[in-house]
Parts: sequence; structure tokens; C-alpha cells
Amino acid sequence: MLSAAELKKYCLFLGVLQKTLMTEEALIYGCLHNDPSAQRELYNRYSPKMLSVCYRYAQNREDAEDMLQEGFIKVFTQINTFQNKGAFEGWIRRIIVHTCINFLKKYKKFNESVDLDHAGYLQVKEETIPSLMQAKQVVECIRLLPVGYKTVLNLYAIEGYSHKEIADMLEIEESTSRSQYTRAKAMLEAILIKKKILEKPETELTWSVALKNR
Amino acid sequence: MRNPLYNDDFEHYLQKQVNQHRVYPSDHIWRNIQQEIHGYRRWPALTFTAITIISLLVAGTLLIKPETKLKTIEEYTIAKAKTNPAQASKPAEQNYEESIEDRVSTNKLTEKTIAAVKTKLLNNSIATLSTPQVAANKMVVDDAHLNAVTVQSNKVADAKDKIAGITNLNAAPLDLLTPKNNRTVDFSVFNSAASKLDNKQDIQLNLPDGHSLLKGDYPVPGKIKLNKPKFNSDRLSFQFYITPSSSFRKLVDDKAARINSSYFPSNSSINFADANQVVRQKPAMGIELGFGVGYSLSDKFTLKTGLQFNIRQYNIEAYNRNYEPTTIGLGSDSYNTISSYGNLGGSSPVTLRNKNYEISIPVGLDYKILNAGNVSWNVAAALQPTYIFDKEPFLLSSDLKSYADGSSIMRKWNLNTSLETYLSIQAGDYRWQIGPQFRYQNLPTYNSKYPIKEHLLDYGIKIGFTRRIN
Repeated sequence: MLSAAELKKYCLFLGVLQKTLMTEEALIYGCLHNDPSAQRELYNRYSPKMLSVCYRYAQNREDAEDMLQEGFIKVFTQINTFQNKGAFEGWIRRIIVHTCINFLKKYKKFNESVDLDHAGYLQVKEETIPSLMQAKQVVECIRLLPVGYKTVLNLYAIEGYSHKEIADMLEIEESTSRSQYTRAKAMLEAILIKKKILEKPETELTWSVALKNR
Repeated sequence: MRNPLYNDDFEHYLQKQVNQHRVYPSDHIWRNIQQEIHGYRRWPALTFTAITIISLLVAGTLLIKPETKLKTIEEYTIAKAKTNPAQASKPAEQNYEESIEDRVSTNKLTEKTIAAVKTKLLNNSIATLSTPQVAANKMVVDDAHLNAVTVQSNKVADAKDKIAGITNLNAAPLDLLTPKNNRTVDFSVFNSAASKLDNKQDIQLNLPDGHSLLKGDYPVPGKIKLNKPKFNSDRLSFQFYITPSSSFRKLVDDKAARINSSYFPSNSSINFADANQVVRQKPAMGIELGFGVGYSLSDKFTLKTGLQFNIRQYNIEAYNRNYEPTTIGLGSDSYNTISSYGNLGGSSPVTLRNKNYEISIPVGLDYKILNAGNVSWNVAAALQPTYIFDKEPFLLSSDLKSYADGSSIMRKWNLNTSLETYLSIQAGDYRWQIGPQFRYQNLPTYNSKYPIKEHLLDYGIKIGFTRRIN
């Protein structure tokens, strides 16, 4: 016979197991039927990763959370438009990225600094980034970039959009997107090296060789 | 998306790093999302609060009456103080020192009663009762209530003994004997009187009635069984009032229900907007007229009911346009109609007025917080079952783009709650009052299938007068 405490533990375990085993299809089905528990589970599953996406675009954590909130509301209200043609996570991510871009446009945070030429004078101190795990360090380094630079860099290098798509999204010229990305990449490299996350490559070596040497 | 094969090492490196990164959101984010998706939980806070307050006040007033025993003792003390001021000053201190238990203890009370009787015996003048008129009185004491104390002229001595032998006056509620042209004799002086009476004479012990006791005319050594208060027309009052108000509405857009309804308009960003963001509305003047009857449950509480007429209205800023078909989604149903009023654009601006005529029966409670002379400060709450008639509302279509006739899905019956506070002043026979009132429509204006829930609100200044009905 199980004691009451054991039974409680067992039920808790079953609950956790049920949630863990809830398939993506079941989640989508639940969300399509406006089931709060499925929506909660979907949010729990994807929100940390999506907030990380928002965090890279946002100026601060509060803005990132606002973006996340707006993005997930769109996810839940537009889930009937998901057509099972790709990864569900990718679909969520696209909504979140678009929400971030719209957020930046809406509050003019993007336009104000998209053409910053003085970004080259960005001062980076070693102590500004705590020595946490490398992923966090890299993200913090990206966030140090001016908004315009980091937006293009995020969209091109991480999300995989083409310069044409980026130009359409940000309503800028394609050439502007290319030049922004080149500058952003150079600046980020410099920051990563200064932070000793990457080693400074020899003159004749490319940075990728330096990476391999790590 | 570009082909990932075009990624160079730097991009691979960045992707690898950031994909490991996680940031955990604050708890309130989920709450906000949930609230946005499922709407505000329709917890009828105002209604619940009002019902709870009213129920508690009524129960408190009707059930938790002052302890009868304590009341009896208080009356005894007051009466004693009246009849014997010299003595009253001394035991007053003692009374305050006594605990509640002592004051309601049967034995203590009996002892006190006997002591009081003895004191009276010593103090009272025998001459008071030795007059022929008193001597002619007939004394009858109900056996059942005074433990078989019957006194007749030839058994005065026995009666005296019996009365002296009463050990528990608390257990002997005084059955009030009707005076028959007899002089009322104070019970406590009975012994004295009885001892001096002629054996041939009958006397009647005439004990004080309940009303006299309440007035404190008589010293009451023992528990009095007070009659239950009967319906008293002195407690009734009539009230008339008028409340000019500013009427408005609150919309709760159940977006999920609207979007998931059988009719879902073509994909457009406005479909995902909240109705509150796309409507433009202004409050308009409304009015409330009513009369009521109040029944005072106590000095503080008055139960009120009556009949009330309301006009409540608000204005919607819209546009004239050509007639266009539009759809009202109602969950699994929907109906099509045409409308010449646009919410978002049209040829010329127009103001639409949603106007309701209502009759209701408010039932509520009034509580007097402060009373200073002729002025008092009260609060009141009421529930108002309401019938709505002559209704021609303009209803927002499911795509939020048009206003159409919504009379077919409008509720006929609703429930309103009102809360008010006011200052009142007594001027002659009338008590005039003025104060702010808030009135809230608890159920949505339209039936529950319509996803945009509308709740009407009135903020008004209530002016009225109350007159006692004698």
C-alpha cells in the first residue's frame, strides 16, 4: 500500500511526466482550441529561448519582455494560420522576430540609430561583461552594438535572412543592409577579441583560423 | 531565408553560441498574456461585494441582537438609579467592576434581587400602601410564572413566605397582568405592603409591562422576557430622489472568442486589435428618478426598496458611408446585416447615441456612519433587477469596422449594482440628502454569445429627501 505522501509524490511525478510527454501536435491542437493548459505549456517550453531572441534585439530587459508578451499573444491568436509546413519553433521564432522589428520601429528605436557612423568609437571596457558562460558573453557583446548594427547582424547572421529580406523588413536599401552587416561584424569581432572571447588573429590569418586555434 | 550553406564560420559560431542562450521571463508576463487572450476574468467583484455586505449587515442586525440578559440588567440599573438616586451613585462603581459573567449569573442576580427587595422593605414607607385604596386592591400572582405565588386576603402571610422563598426570579418571566383600575404596586415593596394589609382584603400585584420596562420606569429585579419587536410603522420612511449622471461603458473584448467564432472576417491586423483600441466614445448625460420605502432595522441600518427609472446613454463617434453588408459573430452562429455607419472611416463623421430606458427595483441597505445633530453621513448599496425597454443600440461588428443594429441580441433583463455615500440634514419633517452614486451593470448588454462584453457605468450625484411615515 502506498502512503499518502508517496501517492502525492507519484501523482506529481505523473503530472510532470504528462507535461513532458505532451507532444508538439497535442500542444498545437490544444492551443487551436484555446486550451489554457496547452497554451501555458507551449509558453513554458519556448519562452526562455524566445526571450533570448528578444533580448538580443531590445535595449533592455523590460523591452525584451514587452516584445515577448506581444509576440506570444500573436502566436496564440494566429496559431490557426500555422500550416505544418515547417518547424513549429521556427514559425514561433519568425513571429517573435517580426514582433521585435515592429516594436523597434514603433518606438522609433530602430530609426534613431540605424545609420550610426560613430559606432566605431564605441568604448568597450573589459569589466562591462561579467565572466559568465560564453553564450551569455557573446549575447552581451552583440547587445553592445548600436541598434541598427545589431538588428542587421541578428537578422543576417543568426536568423538567416537575406539582405533583400532584411531591406524589406527594415525598409532600408539592400546595400545599406550589407554595409551595416559588414560594420557590425567587424565591430563585434573587435569586441569579442577585446573581451578575450576570441583570440586576435595574426595579420595573415583570418579570424576563423583564430577560432579553430581555440 | 538565405541558404545556410552560405554561412561562414563566424555566423556558425554566433548561431551556436546564441542558440544555447536562455533568458527566463518574469511571472507577470504569462499573466498578462493570459489576460490578453482570455480576457479579464469576469469575477463580479462589485456584485459579490455588495451582496456580501448587505447579507452580513442584515444578518448582523437581525441575529446578533444585544444580549437580553445584559439588556435586562442595564434596565434594572437605570431604573434603580431613577428610583433611588442616592443609592445609584454608590453601586455604579461596583457595576463597572463586575464582569459580564457576574452580571448575567443567575445566582448573583437572585442575590441582588433579594437584596434590592430587602432594601426597599426598609426604605419604603408603609403608609404608601396602607391607604384604603391600596388596601382594596386585589392581589393575584400567576402561579405558573411566579412559582405559585397566589396571595389572597386571608393568606397574606403565606404569600409573603412564598415570595420570600422565590429563589430564581430569572426563571420567572413576568407575565404581565392587566391593571384593572388598580394602582400599580412596585414588586419590591410587595412584602412591605402585604405585611401591613388587612387580612380581609385582596390585593393585586400589578407588575410592569414590557414597554414600561424599556422606558426604564420600573426597577426590574430579575429577567424580563421581552416581547419580540413587532413591525412598527414608526420605522417606515418614504424617499424620493433624482440622480443626474454621466453614463459610460466598459468593453471587455473576448478576442479569442471573437476570432474563433464561426464568422471570422478576412485576415487583417484590426482583427487582432482590442475593441477598446478602435472605438471612440464619449459619455453622455443620463438621469435616474425613483422613490422608495425604507424600514429602519436599527438606528444605523435601514432596509430600502422601491421603484426606479433610468435613462442612460453614451455617444459613439462613427462615420457615415454607403450601406455595406456586415456580420455579427455569435460564437457558433452569426447573422448578416447591412450598415451605413463605419467605425474606422467614411464620408463624414457622425455621432451615434446608444440610449437605454430602464425600470428597476432596487433592494438595498443603508448604513449610517456618523450622526452629528441634524447632519448624518451614510453609505448605501443596492442590487437592482432591471428591465430594459425601448432599445435601439448600435453594435460593433465582428471585424470592428461597422456599427449595426444590435437590438435583437440585447438583453431585456439585467442586474445593476449601485453604491452611494451621502450627507443628509434634517429640516422639519424632511431629511434632505446629497452625495455621489456609482451604478454598474453587472451582466453584459448583449447576450453571452456576443464576444464583446459591454458593461454600462453611471457616475452621478444623487439628490433626494426622506420623510418618516407616521
